[in-house]
Amino acid sequence: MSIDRSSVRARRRRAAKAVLTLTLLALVVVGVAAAAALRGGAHGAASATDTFVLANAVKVDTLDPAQNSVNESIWLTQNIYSRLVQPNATGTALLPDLATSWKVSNGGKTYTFKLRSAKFSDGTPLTAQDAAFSILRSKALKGGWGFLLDAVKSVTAPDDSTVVFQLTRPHAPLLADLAMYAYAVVPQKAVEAQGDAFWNKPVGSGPFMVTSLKKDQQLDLAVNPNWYGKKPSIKNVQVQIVPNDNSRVLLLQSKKVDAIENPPGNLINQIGKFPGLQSDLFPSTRVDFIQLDEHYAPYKDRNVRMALNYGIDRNAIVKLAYSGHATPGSSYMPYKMLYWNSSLKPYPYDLAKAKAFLAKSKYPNGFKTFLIEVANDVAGNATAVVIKSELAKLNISVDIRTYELLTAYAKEDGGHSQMGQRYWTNDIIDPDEVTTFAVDPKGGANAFNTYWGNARATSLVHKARAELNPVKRGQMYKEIQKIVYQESPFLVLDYSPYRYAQGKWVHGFHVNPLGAYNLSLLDLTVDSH
Amino acid sequence: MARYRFIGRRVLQLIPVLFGITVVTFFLLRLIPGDPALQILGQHYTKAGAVEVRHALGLDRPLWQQYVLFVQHLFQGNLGESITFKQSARSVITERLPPTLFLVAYAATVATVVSIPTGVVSALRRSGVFDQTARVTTLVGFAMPPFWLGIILILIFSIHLHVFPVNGYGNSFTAHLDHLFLPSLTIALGFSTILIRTLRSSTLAVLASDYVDTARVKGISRLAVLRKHVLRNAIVSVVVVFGINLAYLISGTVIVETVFGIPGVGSLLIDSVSTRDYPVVQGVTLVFAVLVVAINLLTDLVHASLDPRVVLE
Amino acid sequence: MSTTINPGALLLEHFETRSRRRRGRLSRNATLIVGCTLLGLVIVASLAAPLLTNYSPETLDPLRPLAPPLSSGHLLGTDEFGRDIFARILYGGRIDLLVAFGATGVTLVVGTAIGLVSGYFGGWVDAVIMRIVDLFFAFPFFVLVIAIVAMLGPSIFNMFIAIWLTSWISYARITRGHTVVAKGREYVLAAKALGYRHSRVMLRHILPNVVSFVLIFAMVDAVGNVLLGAALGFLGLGAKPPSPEWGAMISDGQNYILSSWWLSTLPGIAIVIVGVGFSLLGDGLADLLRADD
Repeated sequence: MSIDRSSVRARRRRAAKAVLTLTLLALVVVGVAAAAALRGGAHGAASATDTFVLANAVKVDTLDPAQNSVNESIWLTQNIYSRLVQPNATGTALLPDLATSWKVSNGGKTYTFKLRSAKFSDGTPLTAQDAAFSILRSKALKGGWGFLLDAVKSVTAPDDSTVVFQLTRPHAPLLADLAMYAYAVVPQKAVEAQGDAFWNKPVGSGPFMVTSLKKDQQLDLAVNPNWYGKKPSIKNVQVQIVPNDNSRVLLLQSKKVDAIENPPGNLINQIGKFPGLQSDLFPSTRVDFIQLDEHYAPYKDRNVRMALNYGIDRNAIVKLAYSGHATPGSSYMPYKMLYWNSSLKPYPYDLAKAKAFLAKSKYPNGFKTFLIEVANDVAGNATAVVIKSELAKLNISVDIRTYELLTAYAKEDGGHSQMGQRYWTNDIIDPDEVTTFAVDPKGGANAFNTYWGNARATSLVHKARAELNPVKRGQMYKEIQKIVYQESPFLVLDYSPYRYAQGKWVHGFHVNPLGAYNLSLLDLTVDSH
Repeated sequence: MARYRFIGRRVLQLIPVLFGITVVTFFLLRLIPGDPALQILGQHYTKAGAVEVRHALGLDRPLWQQYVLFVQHLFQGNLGESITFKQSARSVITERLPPTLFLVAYAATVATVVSIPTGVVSALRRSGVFDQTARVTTLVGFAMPPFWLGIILILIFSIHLHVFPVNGYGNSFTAHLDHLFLPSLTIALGFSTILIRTLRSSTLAVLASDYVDTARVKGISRLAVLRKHVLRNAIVSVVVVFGINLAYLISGTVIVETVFGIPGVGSLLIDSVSTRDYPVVQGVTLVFAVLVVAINLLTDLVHASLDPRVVLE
Repeated sequence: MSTTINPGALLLEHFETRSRRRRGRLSRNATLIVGCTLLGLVIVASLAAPLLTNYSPETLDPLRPLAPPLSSGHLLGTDEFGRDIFARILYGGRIDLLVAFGATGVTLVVGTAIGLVSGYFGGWVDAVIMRIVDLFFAFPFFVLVIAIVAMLGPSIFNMFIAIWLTSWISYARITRGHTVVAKGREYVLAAKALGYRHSRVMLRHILPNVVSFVLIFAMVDAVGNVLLGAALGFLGLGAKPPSPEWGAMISDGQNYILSSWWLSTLPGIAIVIVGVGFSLLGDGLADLLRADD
């Protein structure tokens, strides 16, 4: 055979190709094998008994207590910072935290707190100046929680361990307000020196401190060596951000995490039957409601609102959106909280009554409207579908508009909305917060963004805030609830518990009605699994 | 020499394409009905604020000036400011680029590894059981929506068999391989339906061709013929099909990243669409287009090096 | 795309008797027949939905959510709202089929027209049009469609607009290519010599020879459009809830996949059936037209 010039090149090319193909094949095989083999070790810490691993559904928005608005982040910061006082495990009373004792004087217009000696996690001492600074900083933030403390004239620190509040009038919820996450104590010098950068590696005086933060992936906490309380049983807390519902459940089933928040409602029973796992429905202060923006004319008409109340089947919502794990809602105040009006019953589903109300209104032939919902909120989306289907029977045509969470909230808040899905959870154990938001047109949320107002109700809100006699106070709140119930500026749909699921190898994980689990982490233990 | 001229020509041809890409992407943002300021400011909308926003976006200037500004910014690497992330759109996109590139490379590899043997063997054993099965499978596979296929794979392999994770990207190289296997398989299976068909028909053509007959007559073994002609031709076919269907491959990442929760540019597109983050939508579209153009060029060059006839066109 | 695939015919050949010659013509048409039958079945089923099921696709049933297939009077089970899945698939078919035909039909006509003009007149018209076509090809099609729908706002109509704006290019390119070839043929030269108007030459002489290629591609494109419509529905960018569009159904079903696999699985099978139908139709057409050559 003759040797042609091209055969050498051709042979080289052939060889190169063969090598390439074989390498690719080998790479794929080795890669997959290695990955599968090493997978067990990817989350090694999960099986350690000194770490509690929690999977959250929502990423961390900020660790600045003053700016916190997303619940999951709020519950996280409560592990990092301390407050003057804090709610107890059942959310019914207040316990001392940084403040060991306090005196109320001057007809309820002066509060003097004595602080314990404490250090921040970086070793610097925590002084009353830090406390005053933090509280004033939070109070001053525009669009924040300052309105809760509008009765507070001044906050001073006469010495390193004393904080004095001077009020313009008696303010019954003051202690409950100070137990709020927004009034956590942060180190003044560090915050002023580092500015925004501080919040990426914040320093607090709580039982845990931040060792690493990747806002949309993972937050790592370790025990704060300088914490003044009893040392927690666990050494580390790892919070993984897993937005996908199915992933979270699968992670729990494969024991890669110890607890998950918000398992889907339809899986609650299924998880309970899974060996080694349990699902929990913790009583909550959550209220699901539909905002009705009165800038849209039909919602100004009480007859329309009543038609909506009777035209929506709350039991169907409970069954279809929450798989039965919820309670139909009546009062705007969270279920059975302090001064909750138990004589109010949820509006029953009554199509005839609804039609009658609509006939009396200015829109007897129905109207078109849109409903803003939050993307990826399974229960919320299901609720929207039920509402749309039921209101169609009244000739009210509902267009469902889905937006990502912050966008949805922005669209619901501006006064250009119509129907908007929203929920409320208490941040304090006192009814003043929810009442201010829901009822007072100048209360920071325009009465849950409905722009509704009722003179009697508003004056009661202000009176109740200053009323120190619990009986009188209770009656005022009961009356406010009655007015809101009868006017229904927003539609109260249901009260839903906090859904969690955990491995039975976890002992002591407990969520209080405010959604906080920080107290339970102090005694929590994790068996090997 | 011809080779360098070829490369030069191809690069020159890119310029009008790139220019056109900037024009289309530019007009994309202007497609928004209504006032973009309203979308951007949302809850904080005020008349004064809107005027400011429009001025900042340069919307109060004549259209051609806006375009020039846009291109100027592009050259500086400025893609605008992301509304949701409060950082530059470019940094958001570059953060999310690696998972997508990994996924595309992984999927391309899996597709090649699956398709070449299947296509070639189908042709070699034409009308046999293997061939018929392969052809029915590709027929059905072609009609399968990728997002559905992904969900089915999750159902079988993640949920029931616990072999692969459902979601996410992982923290290390091996974790990436683990997390991205099912997503890559999803894209690869869809892509393979085209690849296998092409390989089969081009292999059949090669087997029936004259020079193969000549080689056999000369006494060269069947295996050698296979290696020299068939395989080489197969790889050329793969490269050509890649080039043509590249856009499909890259588009596939959008759906697959969403189904599998991979933090890449594809899912970034969907996320920014739902948050109405227009600068990022615009930026991602641009990046995808440039990616397609770049990889097209690359495949053309690879094709040219494998098949000299291309250069002489 | 390969033109030698015809699995339908193959399957039939496998079961054939010795009288192959007699059956030869039939086997070539078998693919066509199977494809037509499948599509026909789906179309008829969707249109005749009220006759095939008593359930409405949108009626909620709080008493029977997530019922498995073949339970309590629901052939394919129910979804999280107790809505009958069989009914939803039937009615949803109307939407997805509308996308298949509506999107494909318009782009077919428009793209072919543009390609004809471009190929026939040549010169700068051709150059400009082909540059635009090349430009659009540079964009990953799906990304462009999403971006357009994003800007216009999610809705079925905007989805159509996005597809129309981007899909015509394939038809234009194919038609133009074949037009250029046909331009040089004798019958065209003769027609021109006879002084026929341009439009007449294009429509009466060139188009008939080009249309077969276009139609075959249209079948492939139809599959693509069904998948595209479903993908956009899946992403929430097309049909909105509670529309029973198949892609949206699959998306909703993801949340229930751990307990109720049928929500996501069954609509996907419907999509595959439609896709296979179009593919077989296309392959059958290709065979038929090649056999006539």
